[in-house]
Amino acid sequence: MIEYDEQQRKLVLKLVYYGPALSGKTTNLLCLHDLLSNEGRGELMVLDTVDDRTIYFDLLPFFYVSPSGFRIKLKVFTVPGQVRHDATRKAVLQRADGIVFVADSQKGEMANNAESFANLERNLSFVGLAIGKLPLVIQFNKRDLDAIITPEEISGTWGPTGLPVVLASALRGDGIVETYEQVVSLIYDALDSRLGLTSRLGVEKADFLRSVTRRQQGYQ
Amino acid sequence: MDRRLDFIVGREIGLRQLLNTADALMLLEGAVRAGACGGEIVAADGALLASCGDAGPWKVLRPILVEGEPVGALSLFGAGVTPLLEGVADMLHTALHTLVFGAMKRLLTSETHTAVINQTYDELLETNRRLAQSERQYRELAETLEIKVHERTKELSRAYAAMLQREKLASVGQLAAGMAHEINNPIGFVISNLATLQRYAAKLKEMLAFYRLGCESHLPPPLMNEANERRQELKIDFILNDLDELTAQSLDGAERVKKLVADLRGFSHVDEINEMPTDLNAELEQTLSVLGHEVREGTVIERRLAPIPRVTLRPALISLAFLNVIRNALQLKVPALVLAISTEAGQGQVRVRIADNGPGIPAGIRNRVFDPFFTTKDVGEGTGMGLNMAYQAVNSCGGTISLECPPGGGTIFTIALPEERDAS
Repeated sequence: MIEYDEQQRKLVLKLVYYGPALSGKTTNLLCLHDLLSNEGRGELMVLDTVDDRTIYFDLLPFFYVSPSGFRIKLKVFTVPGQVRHDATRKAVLQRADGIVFVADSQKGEMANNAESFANLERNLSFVGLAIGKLPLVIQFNKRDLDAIITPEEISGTWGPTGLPVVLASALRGDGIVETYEQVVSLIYDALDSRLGLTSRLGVEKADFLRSVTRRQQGYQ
Repeated sequence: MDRRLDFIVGREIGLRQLLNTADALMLLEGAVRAGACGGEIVAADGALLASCGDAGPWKVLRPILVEGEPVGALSLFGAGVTPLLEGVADMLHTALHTLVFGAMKRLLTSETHTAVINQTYDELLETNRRLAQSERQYRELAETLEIKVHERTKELSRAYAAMLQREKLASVGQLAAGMAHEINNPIGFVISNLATLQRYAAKLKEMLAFYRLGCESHLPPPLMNEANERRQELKIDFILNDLDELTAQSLDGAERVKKLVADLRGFSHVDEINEMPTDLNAELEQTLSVLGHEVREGTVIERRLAPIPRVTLRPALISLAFLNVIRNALQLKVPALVLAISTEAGQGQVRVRIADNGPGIPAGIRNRVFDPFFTTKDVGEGTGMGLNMAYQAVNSCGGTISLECPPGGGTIFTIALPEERDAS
């Protein structure tokens, strides 16, 4: 967590979209930005890019104020996927409250996915986070493409880990909000047991989730 | 460690970090010139960031958002809420947002950049530290390597010299053994023939005596005179007397040659390269016999060889040691050299002592006498290898060789060998 100020009744959280280069992390955020209501969020901030490739990160902030007046700000980040930006990934990962691992569904990308996941594990331990204790959702993106691995293959690989897996197409907008909802729900649960969001701070899960995942009018 | 700015990517950033007063004032002054009475920018916590002009009766308020959240507010004052004031406020608001958003981006970028640089620098330091450490290790290794190589080279040249010498000795031994074999046969029939000759001579003597005693009286006087003359002329009486001694001497000489050949053969141990139970007394005798020709006249060799158990070792090696120590003593240039060779057993050891009555070894060089090439003899007389070879040979047999110089003079070499050796 980035910041927790009980006196100011404010909590700032960090959600990080991780994954190999060109797996669609920024597209996920663009999609969330388009699909979710602007009432509960700020603007998407895309920091400098080179050839449309993220070199720092993208940031989409969400915020929520409970009826009791407790404020939660959820900042959603992407990391640069290219191998060379490992130091930036470490910097962005610091104090993360949840991870969405965006994998590329294309058949030829499995090695890159595995490499990036191993990198995630390494970097989490570098910044002092345990991958087993962190809310983590796996998203297999680019389901709209042809040469992709089957859902059976995916569940064969990831089923045993017990991690939630979402099939998505960021280009079409499929599974993007679902991924986000799942990870936010996990983040809430993790924080609730640590901070007593419901009992002590008066933050109801349903209310919080409804607020930060509110859809744009006209989308269903 | 440097004082380090540590950024958490995503930390909350207030309006004050994003908007500097000079920029804000410029915008507010523009608004005043455009017709507003005054204006002010206030942060969310109530702090005044910038103000210009006077507070008017009417106020137009615009929130300033960062990441979608209000972090402050812009207020413009005017005589009334006119479309102009609203328009100026909107313009100012947009300009402020652009400014703040840009500043936010720049701040995030530079903070991330700094974090990355710091981390990269840390990693570089760590890499550098590891490299320096491994370099140090290699340097140490290289240094000790030089010493080790030096030591090994010395050892190697020592071993090589010893090996050369041993090989030389071995080939000499082989030559000796070969010659011994070649001599053995002829000396065999020489001895046998000499013995036969002795018998024949005795028979001839007997026959001659018979003639003289039984036949001479029957000869006619002229013939007897002639026979006596011939006998004296040919010195037959002398010959008959000398014949026995001559053959006896020859036989003795031939027997000595035969023994020497046998000793030489035994000493060279050409057929015995493996360890075997060895009688050290016999080895000493054999060595002394082989060295017989090197024993100068007047030298006394005292043997005090006690009954000792056989020791399992390579006989060739131990006789090599004996040979070198004894030869070393025999070469002492003292009148009336006395060499005392004794053996004894006890405390699980068999000890061989070779003592001389020479001048002793000066204390300063005692620890060097077993070094290779160390010699006090004149050039050409000693190789400096003898005692070193003895040392190596005794070592190979699992024993030790030491020397002492008692106050009364002389040197005592002691070769101690374990009675039982660990199988190794």
